[in-house]
Amino acid sequence: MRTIELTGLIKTYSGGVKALDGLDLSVEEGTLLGFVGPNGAGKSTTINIVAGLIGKDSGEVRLLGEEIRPTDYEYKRNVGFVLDSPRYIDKLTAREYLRFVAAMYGLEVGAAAARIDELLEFFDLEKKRKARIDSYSAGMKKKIALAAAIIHRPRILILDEPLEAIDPVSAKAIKDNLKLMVQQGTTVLLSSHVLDTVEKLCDEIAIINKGRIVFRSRMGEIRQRLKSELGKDTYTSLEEIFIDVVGENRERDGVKKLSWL
Amino acid sequence: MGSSGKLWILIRTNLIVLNREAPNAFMSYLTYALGGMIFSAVAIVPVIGPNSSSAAGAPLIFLLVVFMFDYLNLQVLLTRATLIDRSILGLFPLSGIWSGAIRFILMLLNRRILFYMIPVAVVVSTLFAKGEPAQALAMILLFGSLYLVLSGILFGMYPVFRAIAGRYSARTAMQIAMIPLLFVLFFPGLFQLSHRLVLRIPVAAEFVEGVRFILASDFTGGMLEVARLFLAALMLGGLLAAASFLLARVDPILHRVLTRKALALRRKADREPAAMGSGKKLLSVSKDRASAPDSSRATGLGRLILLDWQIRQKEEKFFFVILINPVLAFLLAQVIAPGFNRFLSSVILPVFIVTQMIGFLIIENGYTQRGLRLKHVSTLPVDPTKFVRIKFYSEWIPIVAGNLAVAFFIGLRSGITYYEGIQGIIYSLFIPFVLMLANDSLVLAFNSLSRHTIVSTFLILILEIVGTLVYVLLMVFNFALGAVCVSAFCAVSYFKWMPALGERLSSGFQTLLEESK
Repeated sequence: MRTIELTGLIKTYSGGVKALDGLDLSVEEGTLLGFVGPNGAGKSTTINIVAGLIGKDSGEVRLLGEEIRPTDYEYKRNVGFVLDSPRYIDKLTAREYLRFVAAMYGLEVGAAAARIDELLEFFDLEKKRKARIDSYSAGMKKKIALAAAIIHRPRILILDEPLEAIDPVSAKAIKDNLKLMVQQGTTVLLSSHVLDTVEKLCDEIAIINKGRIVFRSRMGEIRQRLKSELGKDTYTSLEEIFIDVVGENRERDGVKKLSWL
Repeated sequence: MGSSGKLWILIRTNLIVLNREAPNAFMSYLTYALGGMIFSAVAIVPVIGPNSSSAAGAPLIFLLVVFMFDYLNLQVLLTRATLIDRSILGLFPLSGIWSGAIRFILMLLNRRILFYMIPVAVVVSTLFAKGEPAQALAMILLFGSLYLVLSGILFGMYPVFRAIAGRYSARTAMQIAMIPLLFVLFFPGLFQLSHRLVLRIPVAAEFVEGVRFILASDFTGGMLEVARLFLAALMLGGLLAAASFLLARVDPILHRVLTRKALALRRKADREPAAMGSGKKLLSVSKDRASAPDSSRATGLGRLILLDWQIRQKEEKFFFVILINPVLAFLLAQVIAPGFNRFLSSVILPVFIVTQMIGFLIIENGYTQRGLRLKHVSTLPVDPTKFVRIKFYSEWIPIVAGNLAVAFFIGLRSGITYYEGIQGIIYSLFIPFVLMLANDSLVLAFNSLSRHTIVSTFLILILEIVGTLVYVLLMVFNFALGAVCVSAFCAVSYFKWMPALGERLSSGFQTLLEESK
């Protein structure tokens, strides 16, 4: 079953900037898809449209088989989001904020309390449980966003740079749990610039550039796809493909240098 | 959990946040409230007549007038309406209409209400203590009704402004704008209902008396007065909308002009650093590390001011503040005030201007300030004390000058001579200047302290209290000199009104003193 299905998405911002230019993307249930692309390629716009935070000009968004219209909101019960610039009610403590989030997702109080305890421990936030979020470091804030995204055990997770600023130990635990969630059927759309993480963590990769998907492959089939589509026999890393697909001009011009260095 | 459950969660969370924000903002609220009450007691009471009911009602009248202008001023419209904002609510399963309704309710509960609730609580409790519960109730009802209506208007106007800016479709804006329309339609009924309810109370006659005093007129006349105020407010809203539209068009042009000017300055600095004075090459771009700027030297103040303006000019709010305030004050004086009774013409305009001054003190304290902030300056090789001057030149001079120009013009219309007007301007400049210096010094002091220790928190508290006292004392000092308010308007106009006001002030004080005995 395709849990995420985006068809012909077009979005033009005021000023004529075309962020999405007929984007097509579908993700099967229980898949961890790495969604990568250069800055300004349209990743965050796509995620914000799926989250219902901004409108699309045209195209279709289907989640769990149902078309999502701008006025729909019930679908968010099944989705968890970590946005590129997550917003918090930063005058609350982590526990208060998670309690608030759990209530908004309609979790029963007892179950919510147990999950909050577990999440705080898992994300190593117990020590600062009495501190307000506005006193947290960037990494801790990201952990709060992640905890809020998974507290209701969503069927779809949309993550924009979820591991940014998070320490390696916590990042490892988060990655392990993401894999576990995927094994249990959760679909994850992971947007990140850390290609190494994407390569090791994801089942599939989709590269977006100038508002369109320009490369899509399962991780195990990359070598074959490279040969058939780009005519390349060698494959060393995802970074190499990325530069091949989206950075051809830079490659041609050689390494960019600052004039005064 | 149903919708009502979610609403409760949101309200509860909003109140927690409100409570957490309060300590930081409390002193400013107190300043605002104290300033307003002193102003009301000293300036308004003598004007509208010193008797017990109007004396008690004066702070409320002050608040209602302030509230009206405040709410219709884009300082509020462009400020985040709720503490729990849309971007957070947007991620949860909440319907658009429901989410809108919640935002409206949360907006009613926002921290700004503290501005109004503190003095209202004082007035109401005073009335209760004086054994006038009906008047106290009447005030609560009147304030509540107006708060609801004005919030509705605000909530409705916001999407209209956004629609003008092209962010909402006209259809969406109209849909949301229906909400205040409903409130406006309900307002007479609401007032009527509260009136009828209170009439059932044995002390109904006192209630009617209370309302009469509050409105400083008979009941029908009072309602007409309120209606006129609404019309005036709506007219101002329309002006703001038109101005916002125009400014949105002017803004890019101004940006280009400023950018060009900044580039020209930078080029000049690169070309002839020595000719630009001791500090003026610090912001110049150097390609040679050996000729890097000397960080021990002062930075070009002019360039920082320009930079500050470049940042600020992106803030619509700032431009509204700079350009619209004097324009509004001018229009108010030209169009509204002459046709109104003495109370409106002699009180509203000074109130409007003085609240702007007070409002800027609050802005100065960092709640909504934009532009080149101290923390930005502190990352540059810049003497942080320059910050005060940057703020003064780029923010205070245009504001004060704009208000002064208006005041001068109004003063001339009132029959004072050019000589008196200029004298008044010179006099009135003194107080804002001292206020600005005192306040900015405090801001600098706060920023240089860590807020994480008990000692520093205590120090900040002391500084805040001292700052508040200084501010209030300065206001009192100003009143003591016979001015109606801190603003330039009073400084110009008091030459005309001084003798009569002096009499009224003394009789007002006398009455207040006698009553307090």
